[in-house]
Amino acid sequence: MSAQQLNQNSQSRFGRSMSLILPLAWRNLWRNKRRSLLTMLAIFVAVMSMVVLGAFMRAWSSATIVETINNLTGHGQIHALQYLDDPNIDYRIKAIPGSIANHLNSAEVTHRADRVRVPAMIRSERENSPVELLGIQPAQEKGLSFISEAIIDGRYLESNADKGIILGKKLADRLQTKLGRRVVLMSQHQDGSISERGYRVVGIFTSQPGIEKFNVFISIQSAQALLGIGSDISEVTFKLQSREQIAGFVQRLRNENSELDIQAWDELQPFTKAMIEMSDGSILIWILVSFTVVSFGLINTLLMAVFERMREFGLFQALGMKTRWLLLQILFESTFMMAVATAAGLIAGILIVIAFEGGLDLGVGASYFGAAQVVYPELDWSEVSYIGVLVMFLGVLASLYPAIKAARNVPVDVLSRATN
Amino acid sequence: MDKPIVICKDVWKIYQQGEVKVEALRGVDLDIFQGEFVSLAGASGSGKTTLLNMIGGLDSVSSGYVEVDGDDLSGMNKNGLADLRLSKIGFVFQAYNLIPVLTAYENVEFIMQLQGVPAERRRELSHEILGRVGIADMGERKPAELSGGQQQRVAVARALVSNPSIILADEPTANLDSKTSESLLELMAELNQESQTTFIVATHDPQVIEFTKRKILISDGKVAQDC
Repeated sequence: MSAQQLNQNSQSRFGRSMSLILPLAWRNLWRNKRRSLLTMLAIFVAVMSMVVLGAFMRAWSSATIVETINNLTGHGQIHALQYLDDPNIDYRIKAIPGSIANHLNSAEVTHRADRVRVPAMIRSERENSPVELLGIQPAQEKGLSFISEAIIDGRYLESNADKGIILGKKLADRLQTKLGRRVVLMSQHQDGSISERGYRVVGIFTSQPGIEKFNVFISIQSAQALLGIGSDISEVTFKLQSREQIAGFVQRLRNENSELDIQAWDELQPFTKAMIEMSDGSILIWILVSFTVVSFGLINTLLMAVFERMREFGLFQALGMKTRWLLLQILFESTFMMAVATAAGLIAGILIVIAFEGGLDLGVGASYFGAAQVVYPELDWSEVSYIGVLVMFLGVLASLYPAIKAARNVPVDVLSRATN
Repeated sequence: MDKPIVICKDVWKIYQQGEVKVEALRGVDLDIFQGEFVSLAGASGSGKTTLLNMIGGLDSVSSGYVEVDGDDLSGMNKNGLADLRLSKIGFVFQAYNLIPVLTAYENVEFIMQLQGVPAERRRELSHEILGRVGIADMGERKPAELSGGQQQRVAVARALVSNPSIILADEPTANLDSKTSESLLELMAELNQESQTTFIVATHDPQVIEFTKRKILISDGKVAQDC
């Protein structure tokens, strides 16, 4: 067969050459089982941790957002200008403008509640404490905030004119008071004087430590009466059908009225937002760190495999194997290694996430950081696919160096050096 | 006589080792014809393996002209030389150089696979050639499961199976005992007779030199004797 004929038959030889190279690459992979298995173990652990960590961090972020939204923030709030800088009785909403009210009554809004929210002092017969007083519409808070479902002792407020007060457990302990006892609330009246009124403790709630210690709930009309503000309110909190609608909805409200301060949850809770962004960033960092470590291991393994087989590569070339087939053979070896380990890592990661889909209790400590105590990891199949494709791509990319080194630097006379 | 299958004209090979120039070949002129069984004899460092590498396209000449079966090697690139080796030259090495992860059959089939020979034909030819070199019953064994002599027979079978014009053997008996060496040489001689394949054997083994019909002595990078 002449060289010219060989070139003409090159296309038909492609398939046959692949049938030579693929099994050869697979068998070479297992020539040093321990080394290959250790490298595959590193890839396996890295891929598995990427899937598991990604699912847990996403679950944590999601649960933290839900927790933040449920802890009185809602999807967004409306305040009088300057209220957020100085939340006192002077900065209140006298009436919601019609254009804003129309939006709040639209189908997008699933929950909406008006609140009075001012700083106050609470005093029992033994102790006193600074608190944040919330005058709420009990029925409207259901499904919007945590309070209706957080009562562990006593009852929830029954109407907008309920005369009782609900305290957090930690605050009740601090005040050395309990259900049925009376406490006195003091706050600044709208006329500048100090207004105080006694309330009977009708319910004890539990929540995040900060809320339990510093938030007290009375009915909205009780609060308005205490402060002498008629039907004025401090804020409107709303919840939409989905979080994706928030930015657009808030922007529409802002376009309607510049006399009110309208903000989304992530603007109201910048610390939480920063924490979530940091956790998202840490996933990316983890992926990069994991993969860098894996890449070095992979390159090292392949370099060792290549250098100890230089003589063999010389033989292949002496027998007529072209450089590109040699390159492909080494790339296939790494591809096989990556594919087996990546598939195993993805499957293990998926099984671990599924095992914890019922929820993982992070302990009470998590709530001190404003995070959810229980997270529910969920698989994001696009993320799983992304990890698989990324690891495979970067793995093959990392193996290019040893492959090119083998294909370029193998001298064909390496075979004869020992015998001259 | 026909046109030579190997033509070497004033072949020089100079290696640069640091600041020292080593002249491995110093103007070799040589013609080898179809069907010859030739030994390139000489002491270690005489240049016989270097000359074998030039003829096999494994190394390039510093100056001069090498032609193999009508192809001028100096005008060929890396891929062209690979194609030449694949289609026209068979190699037998001192250290056998079989592919350790392949069985004897697969080692023999390797070149045919590179050439694109269909699987059925490959298997047929590899059975035939392994039978011819006397180890048909060991075809499924991997190199590590074969003796040195058996491995060298597989290497000869691999070199022969694609029906090359020339077989270049570099110290093929160096790792074999004298009995196995003799058996291998007889086999090579038989194959040479039957197929008229040209055998060029680089060796310093007197047993091999004695066996070949044409003896070329290489000394200090030159042809010192050709008889």
